[in-house]
Amino acid sequence: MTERLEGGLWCHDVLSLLDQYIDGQLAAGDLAAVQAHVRVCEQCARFGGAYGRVVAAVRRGEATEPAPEQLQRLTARVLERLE
Amino acid sequence: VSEREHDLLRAAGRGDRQVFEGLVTATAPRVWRLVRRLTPDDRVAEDVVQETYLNAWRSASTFTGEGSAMGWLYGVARHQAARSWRRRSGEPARSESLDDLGQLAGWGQDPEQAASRAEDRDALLAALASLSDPDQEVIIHCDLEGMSAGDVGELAGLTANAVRVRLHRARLRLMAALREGGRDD
Repeated sequence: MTERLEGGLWCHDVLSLLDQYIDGQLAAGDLAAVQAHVRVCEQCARFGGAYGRVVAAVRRGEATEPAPEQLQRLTARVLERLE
Repeated sequence: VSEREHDLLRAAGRGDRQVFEGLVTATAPRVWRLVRRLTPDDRVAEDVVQETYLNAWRSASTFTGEGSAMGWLYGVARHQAARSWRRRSGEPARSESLDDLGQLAGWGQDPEQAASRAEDRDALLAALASLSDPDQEVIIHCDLEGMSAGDVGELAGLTANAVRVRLHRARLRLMAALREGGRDD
């Protein structure tokens, strides 16, 4: 890929800050620099958007509670099979 | 509660079946919740939970007492879930290169492919199951269970910053695995 210097950051700097950017943990100065970079660097903007979508998809994994009878059946099966 | 589970697992390791039954009853809901997130449906999840406990019973004597009993059980469950996925998909385990993670994830190329595949739950689970145990663990704790980097660090014996670095790399490997899965389709 072609490295660009935009907003005071190279593309690889943006990549290293991406996680903190997605998680809202960047300090104000770094946040402004990343935002300035991605405004003009299409490849970082695209990658950041895709990265955020992947993280969001993982986070949507819902906690599924077992039904009481399902849990009872499951526990009984395990105990039957213990050697 | 965690101390009691710890004692139960230690006792089970000495072959006390009745104690192990108590451990199963006490922990099955939490093991289920983890396994269900890593499997495509209830039927597969039930199989994986059963195999998790059968393996835990056989190997309880290997629990050294370091770390939590739930952490140990979760490790067994993740391993079984990954084995189940590989068995169903017929694919061997893959270990991703540490080099050029960003580019493997599509940086400067086609990152949207990974993002699109992540919307498919089965594809996402397949990609997650293909990662190493530490990568799966940090993603599960931070992104699925919503734990802070500091709390995960306490569990794993790492600094919060080390957890964040590990999470970043694990997420990139997940994207790379999603892209790779897309090429296999």
